[in-house]
Amino acid sequence: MERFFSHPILDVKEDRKQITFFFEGIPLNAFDGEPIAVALAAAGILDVRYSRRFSQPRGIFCGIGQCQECSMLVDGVPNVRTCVTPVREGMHVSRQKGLGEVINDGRS
Amino acid sequence: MTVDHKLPEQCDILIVGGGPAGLAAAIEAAGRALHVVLVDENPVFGGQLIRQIHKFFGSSFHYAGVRGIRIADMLSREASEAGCLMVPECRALGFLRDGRVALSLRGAASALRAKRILLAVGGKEHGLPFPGWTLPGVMTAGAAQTLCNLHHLLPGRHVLMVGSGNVGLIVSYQLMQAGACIAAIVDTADRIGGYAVHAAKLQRAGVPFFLGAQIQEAIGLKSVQRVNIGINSTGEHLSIDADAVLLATGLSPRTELASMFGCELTYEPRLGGHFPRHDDTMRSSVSHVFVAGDSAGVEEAATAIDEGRLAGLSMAFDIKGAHCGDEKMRDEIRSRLKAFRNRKASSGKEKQNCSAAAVSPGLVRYPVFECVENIACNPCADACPAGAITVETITSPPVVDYSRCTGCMRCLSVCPGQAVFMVDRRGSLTLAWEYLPVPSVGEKVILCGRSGEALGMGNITACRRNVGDKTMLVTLSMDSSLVDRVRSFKRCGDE
Repeated sequence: MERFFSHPILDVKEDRKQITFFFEGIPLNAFDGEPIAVALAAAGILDVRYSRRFSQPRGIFCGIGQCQECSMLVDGVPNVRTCVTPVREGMHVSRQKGLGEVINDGRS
Repeated sequence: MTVDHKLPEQCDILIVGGGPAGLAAAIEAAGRALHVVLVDENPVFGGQLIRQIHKFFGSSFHYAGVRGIRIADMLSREASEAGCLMVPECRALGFLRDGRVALSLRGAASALRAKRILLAVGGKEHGLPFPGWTLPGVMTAGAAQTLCNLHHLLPGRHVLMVGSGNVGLIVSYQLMQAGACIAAIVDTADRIGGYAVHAAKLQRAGVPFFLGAQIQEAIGLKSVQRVNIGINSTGEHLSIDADAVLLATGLSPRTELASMFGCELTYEPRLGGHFPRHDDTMRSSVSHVFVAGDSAGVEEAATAIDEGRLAGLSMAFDIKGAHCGDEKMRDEIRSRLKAFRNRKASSGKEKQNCSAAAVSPGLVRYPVFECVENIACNPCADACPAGAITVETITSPPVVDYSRCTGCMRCLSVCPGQAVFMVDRRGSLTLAWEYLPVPSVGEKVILCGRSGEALGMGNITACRRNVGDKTMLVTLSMDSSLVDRVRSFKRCGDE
């Protein structure tokens, strides 16, 4: 999916802060605070999760944090809804296989 | 906007959902010196309005002719100034046994006791299962609207839209504005579901509609690349290249919280299925719980605003007793809602009410209103400084007194349906235009008709941009025989 930088109605801000985050170890650029799934889609990554039973690709579906289709592993926490979770500097994100493994229970 | 992130332990009124209904209720209730807390799970208030870059239908009470994104700002500011405590990123989890409402503020749970509760949580989009519907790139029309209008990301270059209701039509147009190509709009029904004026914008851009057709399969390895559709009447199959498939197949009220609160549900297919039964004060079957907006039956933002106002006034009445003018105001809102809902379904065969034929033969330059349905809408009449346009009841089509028209073209720029055209019989036409790049004077363009068909070449002779709302008015010169047929243009070099 491509970003656009001009629009007949909307003002597309040009001075948005850029950050770097990591997708499966690869550094990627993003705008600070945009949803993780948006940053990935702009980098050409649409298949953010693989289903539990048949390992099929899944991507953004509802876009408002209701359907769980874009669940990913974010900083060791599985099942993070990436369409409504802001991307931050240095975040580590990876595709989730099935239900996802808990690497970090959030208490460390 | 000042936003408080602390939750009190109690308040007069808790409103769940900060969309048009919740905000309107907050404005009315907080404006009557009640302690109102408004929570929304999103970081920004406005609900779906913050994605809606189109202009609204309705009357001035519904902010007609104003873009949704601006209405969101106006309502949010008004609610905040009225003294409502606005808490974003806060989800209502449910109802505790002691009568309090459980809330989660960015993961931290708390409970709040409120005398009255308004559930204005909106609707949810329907999915549509078919082989390949789980592929990345297949998403709801709302998701596409979010990506495009909120995050400035194009969901696809070649988009297939499933569903020709207003959501499908509006989102298709908005994706075109951002630079996408709509490969097709597919609907199982044999006629377009949404307003004719919304469909007309797409038709004159040459978007193909496949009616009486269904999507059979989305194909792709890691994301959608191709879609197969079947035409019901002929049994033929088509394969269309698309990197996005959008589902605009309807909405249902969100009823989880209402059910948890013990509100009785009722069923009405025209309003999206099950929703909490309510009376004409917006009170549900549970006396201290009110409902408004799409979660009280899916309609439009305009009716959501009015239902929210009604609920806000009713809750204030409950807590504070009779207020001067309140009952009168509620009656006004009720009659407005009634008039708004009184729209007869169009047969698609309505006569053009002010077509060129209806204009007195002596006129040379005059506006033509290609507005044929009984849409609840009157901004053209409000905008006309000469009082030349009459919209009798909110759902009547406009009637023009051409003897009073000064040709100022305000009706062109304000019409939410972009259905007004300034015809000059000497060989020019002015139309509303909302695409980039900005047309330049002297540019040679391909003139297009109502179905996007090329009719000849013409030149752009003027382009006026209204700074306030960004709609451009583009004047095209052409052979005088074409002025009744040309309704759009293509740039040379556009595919």
